[in-house]
Parts: sequence; C-alpha cells; structure tokens
Amino acid sequence: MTLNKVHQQKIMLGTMLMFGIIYATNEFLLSPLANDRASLKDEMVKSEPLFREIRGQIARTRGLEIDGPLASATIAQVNAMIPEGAAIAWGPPKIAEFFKSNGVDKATARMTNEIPEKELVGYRRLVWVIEIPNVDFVPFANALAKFENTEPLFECTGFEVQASREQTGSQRVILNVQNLIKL
Amino acid sequence: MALRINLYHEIQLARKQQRYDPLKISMICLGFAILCLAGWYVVRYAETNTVREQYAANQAELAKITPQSEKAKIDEAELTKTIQLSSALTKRIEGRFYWAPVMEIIGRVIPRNVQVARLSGDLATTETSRRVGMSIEGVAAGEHPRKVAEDIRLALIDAFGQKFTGVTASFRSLDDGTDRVKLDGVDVGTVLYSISLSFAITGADDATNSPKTAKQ
Repeated sequence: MTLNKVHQQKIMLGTMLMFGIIYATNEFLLSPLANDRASLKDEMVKSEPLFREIRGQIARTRGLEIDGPLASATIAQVNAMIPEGAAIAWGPPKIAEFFKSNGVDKATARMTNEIPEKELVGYRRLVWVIEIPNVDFVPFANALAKFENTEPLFECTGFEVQASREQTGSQRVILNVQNLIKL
Repeated sequence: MALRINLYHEIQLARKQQRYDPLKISMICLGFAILCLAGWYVVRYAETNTVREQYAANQAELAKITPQSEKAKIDEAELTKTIQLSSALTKRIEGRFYWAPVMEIIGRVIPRNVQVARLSGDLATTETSRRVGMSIEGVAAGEHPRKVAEDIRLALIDAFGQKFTGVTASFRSLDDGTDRVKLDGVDVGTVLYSISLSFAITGADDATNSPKTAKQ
C-alpha cells in the first residue's frame, strides 16, 4: 500500500497529536505528582533528625524517670533527718542529748559559722564547736564512733584532746563539726 | 469461456483504504498510548498518595510527640537536678571521714609507758584531695626513752599505713624530760615528744573506714 499525500498528512497529524498528549500528560499530570512526591520525601528525610532528637529526648527522660524516684527518696530521706526550725535552736540540745545518752556529760555546742553550699543547691553547712570539759578517752571515742555512725549529716573536721592536769585519765575535748541543713 | 470482470474493484480498494486509514490507525495507537499514559498516571498517583499518607502520618506523629518532647525536656532538667542533688548528697554522706578508726589506732598503738597529753587532728579538704594532719604530744618513759618515742613514731606509720596512703610521721620536738618515773618498780627516764602525723584520704580509704551503718 502506498501512502498518498493525504495519508502522510494524517500520519504526521497523529504523530504530532501523540507527542502533544505525551508532553501534556508529562507536563501537567506526571511532573506535578513527581515534584509533590519528591518534596514530601525530602520533607520526611529532613524531619528524620528531628524525630531522632525527639525520640532520643523522650528515651533519655524515660531513663532518668527510672532513677528519679530513687533520687527523690534519697533527698526526702536526707530532708527527714533535718529537724524543723532554726538550727541554733535544735542543734545544741540535740548534740548535748546525744553525747549524754552515750555516757558523755556536759557536752556543749555552739555555732561558729555558716557556709553556703555550691554543690548542694538548697542546702547550707553549719560549723559547730562541741566542747566536752571532762571525759575519759575510751567513752569519748565510743560516743564519737556512734555519733559518726548515726548522724550522717554531721562530719567531724577536727578535734583536740587535752589531758587534764587536775584529774588523771580525764581529758578536755574540743570537736569541730559541720552539718548540712536546708536553706 | 466467460470473461470475469471485477466491476467493484474500485469500491473494494476504497474499502481497503478506509480499513487501513492511517489516521484511524494512528488514532487507535493514540488511544492505546493515552490508555497507557492514564494507567501510568494512576500508578504514579497511587505512589504519590502512599507518600502523602506516610507524610501525613509523620506529621501526625510529630504533632503528637512534640508536646511529649517539650514535657520530656522540662522533666529531664528537673530529674537531672534531682539526681545530681541526690548524688551529691550521697557522695557527701558516704565521703565523710570517720575519726573513730583513727582513735582506735591511737589507742592500740600507744603503749602503757607512754602518756599522751595532747592529741589533735584536722581534716584539710581541697578540691582535689583531702588530707588529715595530726599532732600527738606527751611523755614517753623507759630505759631508753628516746627509743620508746621513736618506736611509737614507727608504730604510728605502720598502723596508719595499713589503712591510709601517704603516711608521714615526724618529731616536731623530742626533749629529755627532767622527771623520772617508776615503771614496774624500776626508775626510768622520760622524754617529752611531739609527733606530727599526716596522711591522705582517698575514696577507697573512706569506703574501708566507713562503718556499715553509715548509709542509714
């Protein structure tokens, strides 16, 4: 079959129409879809670090939430050991009472300094001087051991034991003690 | 013989040409191509829709977890503060220096022919280390009182060296005493001694010294 001029024109028209449709489909239908898809994927890829960060943040907090109650309990336990009221009011009687109940009479305590705590926010340190005018060494050492064991908020930072000139076997003791209290 | 003449050949040709009309064929091809393109569009549209759904799910999740993250951030700061405070309190309590074991060593090391007239101790704390400095003064009696005093110094180094590190003990003064004393019925001489003792405290020392009830 031979193609005459009309046929050739028709084929040309058909081809042109086909290219036109392909172009239009691509330009007005497929390309916007592809762009849409690419931008959405891009957005999702970009949000991945944010997701990682958020999930990491939540996981970190969940990890801390495991230790949190224990830490709160420890703080509550420490706070429960600090009596209410001014330390100058409860400190000396408490110290005197403690030593008295452990066989060391006439222990007197006076507060000499107050130091803010940098590490322990909400707490401060009080410095006390405890004086025991007349005590035997062994009962004193026993009382000190008990004091150190039962009063975890107190720390003895220094002491002086001076033998009495008047009474053999008796000593005068000065203890430097620090303790933690709440602000 | 009859002559057979096809009088319709022109009509047949026209029909044939109409059947194989290039425009018609190209229209069929075009229709097929449009169908393929439409199919392809549907496939791509479905893909895009899937991506859109994923994106929407992502955004929904983001909107859901962002407030959680904000809350977590606040909680984290609060919890960190609590844990740090608790840890610092525990460290402070467990890191205390206990003097009772020191007293116990002194009581064990000093023999009965030695009198301690003055005993003092101080805990020096710096940011990096803690050190205890002690002073022991008194009277030592014996046949060779200087040797008795020296034995005490060495015994102190030995006894404290078993528990602490960096133990040093030196005489600040060692003077012959004017008094003579009776020890087990024997008249012996005396010396007045003053020993300066110091040792370092490490975390391990604290742990070994701390009584079991320290955590109460």
